[in-house]
Amino acid sequence: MATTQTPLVATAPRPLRRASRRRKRETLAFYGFLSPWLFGFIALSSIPLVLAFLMSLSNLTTVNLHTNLHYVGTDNYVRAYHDHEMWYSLERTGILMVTVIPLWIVTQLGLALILNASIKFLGLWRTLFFIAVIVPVVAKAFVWKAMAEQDGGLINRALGALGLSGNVDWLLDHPTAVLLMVLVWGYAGTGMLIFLAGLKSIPEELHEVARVDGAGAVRRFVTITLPLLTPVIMFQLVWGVFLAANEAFVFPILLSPGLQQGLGSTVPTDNVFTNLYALQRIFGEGDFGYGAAVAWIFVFFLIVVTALLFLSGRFWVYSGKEQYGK
Amino acid sequence: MAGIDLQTVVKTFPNGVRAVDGVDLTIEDGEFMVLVGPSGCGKTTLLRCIAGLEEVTDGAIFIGDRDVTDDNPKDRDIAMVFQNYALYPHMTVRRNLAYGLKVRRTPRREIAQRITETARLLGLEELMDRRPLALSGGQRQRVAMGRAIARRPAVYLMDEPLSNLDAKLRVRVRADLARLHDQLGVTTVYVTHDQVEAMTLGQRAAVMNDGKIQQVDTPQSLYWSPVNLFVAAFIGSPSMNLVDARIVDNSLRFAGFSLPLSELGRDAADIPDRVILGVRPEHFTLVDEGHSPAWSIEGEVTVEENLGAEVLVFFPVDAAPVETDEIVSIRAGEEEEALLAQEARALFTARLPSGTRQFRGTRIRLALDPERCHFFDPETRRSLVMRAPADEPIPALA
Amino acid sequence: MTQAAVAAEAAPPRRRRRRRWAPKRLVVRTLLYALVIVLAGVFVAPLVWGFFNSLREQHQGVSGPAIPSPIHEHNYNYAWSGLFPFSHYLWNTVVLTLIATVPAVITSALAGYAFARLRAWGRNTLFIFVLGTTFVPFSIIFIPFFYLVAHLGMYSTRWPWLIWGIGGSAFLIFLFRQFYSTFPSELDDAAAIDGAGHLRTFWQIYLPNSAAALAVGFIWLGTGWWGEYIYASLLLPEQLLPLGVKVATGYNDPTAQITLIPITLAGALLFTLPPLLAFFLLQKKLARGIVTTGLKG
Repeated sequence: MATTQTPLVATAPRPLRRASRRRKRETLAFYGFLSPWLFGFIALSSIPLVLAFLMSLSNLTTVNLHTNLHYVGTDNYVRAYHDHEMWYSLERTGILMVTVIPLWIVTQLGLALILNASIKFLGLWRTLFFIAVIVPVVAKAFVWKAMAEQDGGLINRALGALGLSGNVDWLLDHPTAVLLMVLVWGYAGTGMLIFLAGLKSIPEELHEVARVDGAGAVRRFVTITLPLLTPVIMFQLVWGVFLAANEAFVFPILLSPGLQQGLGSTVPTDNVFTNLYALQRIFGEGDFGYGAAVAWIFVFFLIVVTALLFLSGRFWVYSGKEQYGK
Repeated sequence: MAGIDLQTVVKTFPNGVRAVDGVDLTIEDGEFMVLVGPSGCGKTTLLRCIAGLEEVTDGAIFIGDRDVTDDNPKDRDIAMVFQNYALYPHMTVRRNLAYGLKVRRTPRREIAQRITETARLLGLEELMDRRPLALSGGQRQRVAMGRAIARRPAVYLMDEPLSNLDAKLRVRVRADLARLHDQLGVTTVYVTHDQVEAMTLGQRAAVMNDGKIQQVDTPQSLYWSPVNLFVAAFIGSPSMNLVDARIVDNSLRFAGFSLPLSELGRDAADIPDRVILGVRPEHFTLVDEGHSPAWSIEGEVTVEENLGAEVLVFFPVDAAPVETDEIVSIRAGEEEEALLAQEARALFTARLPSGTRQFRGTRIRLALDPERCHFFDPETRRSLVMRAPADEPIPALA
Repeated sequence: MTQAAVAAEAAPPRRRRRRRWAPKRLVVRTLLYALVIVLAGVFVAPLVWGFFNSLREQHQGVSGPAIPSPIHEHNYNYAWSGLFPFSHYLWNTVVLTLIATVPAVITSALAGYAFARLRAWGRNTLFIFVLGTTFVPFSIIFIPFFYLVAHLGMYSTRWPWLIWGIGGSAFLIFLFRQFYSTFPSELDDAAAIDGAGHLRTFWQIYLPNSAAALAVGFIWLGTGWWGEYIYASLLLPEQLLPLGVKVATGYNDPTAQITLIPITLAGALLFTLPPLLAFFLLQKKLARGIVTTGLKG
């Protein structure tokens, strides 16, 4: 039977071209699969961002484009620089970040620790802690308005029952405090689950070895649990910045006392964060250009905060992968 | 340095499982005691009870002369080495070693001294500033041991510390462990499912099954004088050959073979009408052509495994395989799982010195030494004729 | 001779197990449970308080006895049909939620699959962009977006919601990517050998097995869109408003120029029921979904 001789040494390697062709096919399919998202990305993110940038450099004051629109360079930004109210709003934004984010982390981690302990009816507690997240924004706001109302709100009633002054006008005099309560109550649930997953990813053996070595619960938490959770904490910190940024838009409007006239017009100044300030300039005075510039200042502020967080991470975030000794 | 005394220790889990079922055990000061048994026999649970990681349901545990039954792990003066090492991944080797000492407020100078000593003992000096992620399996294992050693506890507890190492490394580390024990002399309780480790490492081994200790003895005694069917089948690799046999007309009958009882001498009196016969694979002798000793059996070799110095031959005998609970639980714990469905006939194994002869497909005749056969009561599974440990080394285990 | 496993009589006397009422542990346990109960109470209190107040007399605000004395449960009827047809706006909410959520889930699943299974040029860079979109603050986008919508004639229509739907959600993409990367890659190989292209593989093999991720994604995105406020109030005419906006502004007493709080609370709680129900129904799947779709990554 005649057989062909298969050469012992392979001839010129062919796989390379085939792999490249396959890669091209997959690339095509890949972008095909992503096309809806890409469409959204361009329509919802890219174009608006570009527009926002252009707006901030213009003197646009209405929706109508054909009215004496021209380029004003950095005028809007200079104006913002001299705007005391803008700076105040920035200060309030900073205060919000510095208070709500640590509160979030502490609450979420605390709740997660509780849920990680071996207690009965775990599912029940977890549900109760998480329900607040499901409540729609408007309901969250009104429920807390009922809590914070000067005359008869639950907070004042509780304070009164404890013997403290029960006549605080929270919504008017301490709007940021109310905002804090709404934010912590309404958004701690998801972070709690994330921390819980993080806690469970630490193998029980590490705790057992530490117990045998003599470490008590507190010490184990500080020397083992916390260091290993630092990546999750970092994630929650950065996430918190943007969550706060977005929620600090809606809630001040909904929590403002009295009826609303224009969008965001009755918000107490203390709760006017920079993004809200931009909104007010646009829907109050129709000042699109200036509003856009203020919004960009807000974004810049967020970027600086995030960058600082990331840079600090090198000092305190544990960066190993999840191989605990196997 | 202290001995351990376990008194009727019982551990029942909330789901009703009795993992430890009344264990009594005394471990001498400085002894290396191995707890060995198939998966689920309760050995790890027992170890964790000694450690204090599991609460004992009943009974008492003494370390030294102290009743530690109610004590936290940290008050028992023990150190533990886990199967997965459980090194703190975010700490360097140095900090891992120091952790237990720092927690106990040991003065800094002493910590440094002990760490240097331990590092030298285990060859970790180069690795002190590395993190566990940057270490090999063997290195991590040594750090895990170092952590226990640096603490200088009264007792070491080890939970299958070698099972994550590859085979060759395991053999080396086993030797190191034995050497370490000679040097440090600390009471050690060592849990393993591998009876080879039990036989080579332990001064004594406690064979466990179903939460109870079957036998505590030196490896020699466990091998030569197993107290019941379980120990006999568990110790030794390949496992002891077992078959149901009956006494008919003064001879032991099974699978068509007939062995005269007279060869057993006085021991024959202890054997009831129905009995389980056990022969270790290494206690067969190949019979030359033509000869036919009184105690011999023959069969056709279906499988042959050449191990270099020895040959394992497998041949079926015309009897049903012995399927008691013990055997099933041992087999469940074995690494190899049968690829083919269970045969209707028992498969015997024999270890023979290797030579040039090919056994496969041939019929062979093997002689049994009555002095080396074991007999077990089919009901109680206890060993009926107790053998004295022979003065020869246990054959290298496959 | 061999040793059997029997305790030596010379050992210290046997001890019967003392009952486990270790005092310190008991105290810690009680404190823990007390803490849990208090915290759970704190988290539920606002909702309970909202419910109580929804039963007050219309103009009472939240003052008066803690638990309203004559219970005005007809507030709920009033919230439903007194000032405006609740059901009409409920329908709006449902429509908007579905328009925004259903396409988004599919888009995200497609994208997640692509990131998990298709090797392409620029894949990793693009993924960074995807993640980056979560960090684009809403406040910088909505101004020009409003502008765009106005100029493209989509003002006062539901079209923007469809665009959001098609655009997907970065979080869901991340979720699906993690989820699909746990599928054995042999599935793809087997499908390729059988002759299926990528789309078919996704549609007939991956998607049908995505129940958990789809449920999580749908619930997550759906509950988010259910309560959306800002865009709806900016872009939609009265007829198309969802409850998110209507409940906030619709319960005003025209003569007294104040918001009727009890009625608003009733409306808000009615508004909260559907997502809450959906959450409970799929709660088991949700908890498992978040933990197993790789948030550990």
